[in-house]
Amino acid sequence: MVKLKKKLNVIRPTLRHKKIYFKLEFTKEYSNNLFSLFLKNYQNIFGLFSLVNANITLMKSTKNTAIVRINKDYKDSFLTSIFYLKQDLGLVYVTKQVSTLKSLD
Amino acid sequence: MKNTFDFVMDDLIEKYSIEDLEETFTKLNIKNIYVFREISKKEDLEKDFILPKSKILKLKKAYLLKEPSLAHFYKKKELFLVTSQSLKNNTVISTSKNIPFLYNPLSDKLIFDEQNARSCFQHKVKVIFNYNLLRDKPLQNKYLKQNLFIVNLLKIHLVDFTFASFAKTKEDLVSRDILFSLLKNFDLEESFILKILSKGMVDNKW
Repeated sequence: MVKLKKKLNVIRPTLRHKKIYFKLEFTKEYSNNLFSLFLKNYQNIFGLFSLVNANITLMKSTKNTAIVRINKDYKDSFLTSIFYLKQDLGLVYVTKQVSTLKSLD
Repeated sequence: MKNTFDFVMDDLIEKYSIEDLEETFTKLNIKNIYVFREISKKEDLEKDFILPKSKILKLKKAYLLKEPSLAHFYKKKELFLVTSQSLKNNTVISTSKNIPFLYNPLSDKLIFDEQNARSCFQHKVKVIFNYNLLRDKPLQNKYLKQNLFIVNLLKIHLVDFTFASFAKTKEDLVSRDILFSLLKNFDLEESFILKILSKGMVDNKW
């Protein structure tokens, strides 16, 4: 009799994606869904497969700031996609780029 | 990134206070700013403009000539660029001994080829791209395609080039981190990108 797995094994550290956190500030207030703006813009520029691998997550946001988490290998692609958000967000400052959420505070 | 620079238009300096600009440029990690006045006629060369004083930023005057013919009348010591945007101008500027910078070799159609790149190398002409043209629709895709091709040509023929904002408003400016990441998509190595974004690319003081 094969024993059925009830719990998934913990993924070992070498297999986990390394992440990076960005703190962004923008001059234009964006009142709509900021997360969907980032996703649609990124997909428009780099495509679906890259979007899925990048694993963009919006941790916190206000009208003028955002804390975004992304896979480290896709850091440059994400910043390139921010380049094309001039009309929606205005001037974007990348105030911090850190590897842990605690170091942002 | 150390010793970063940007090219901006004098409209930006007139629109915002110096304190506001100091805060903005410090946040964007840009220290050396060349402020350009556009020159379309010979008479405009006689008019001078004054820059505000700043303790944090290094502001310098510069001139953007709209036609290559204006270069004959340019006698000032400050940096000057000559606008291209046409096949004829690209050839004139790249073969000139007196013009150090070619600004904007992009147009509706491709107007810069291998011969232009070789001439730029022979006459030590540097090419300056305006990265805001890659953001503004509707010609955004055309400009990007041409830009990728021309950057590759310039790399092969060892021609110096760089990217700048030519900003008229604050929204035209871009952080150096974002620009660095953007240039990685042009198939350029990190060390090369740091070199072209440093002030030494403009004044040859490495």
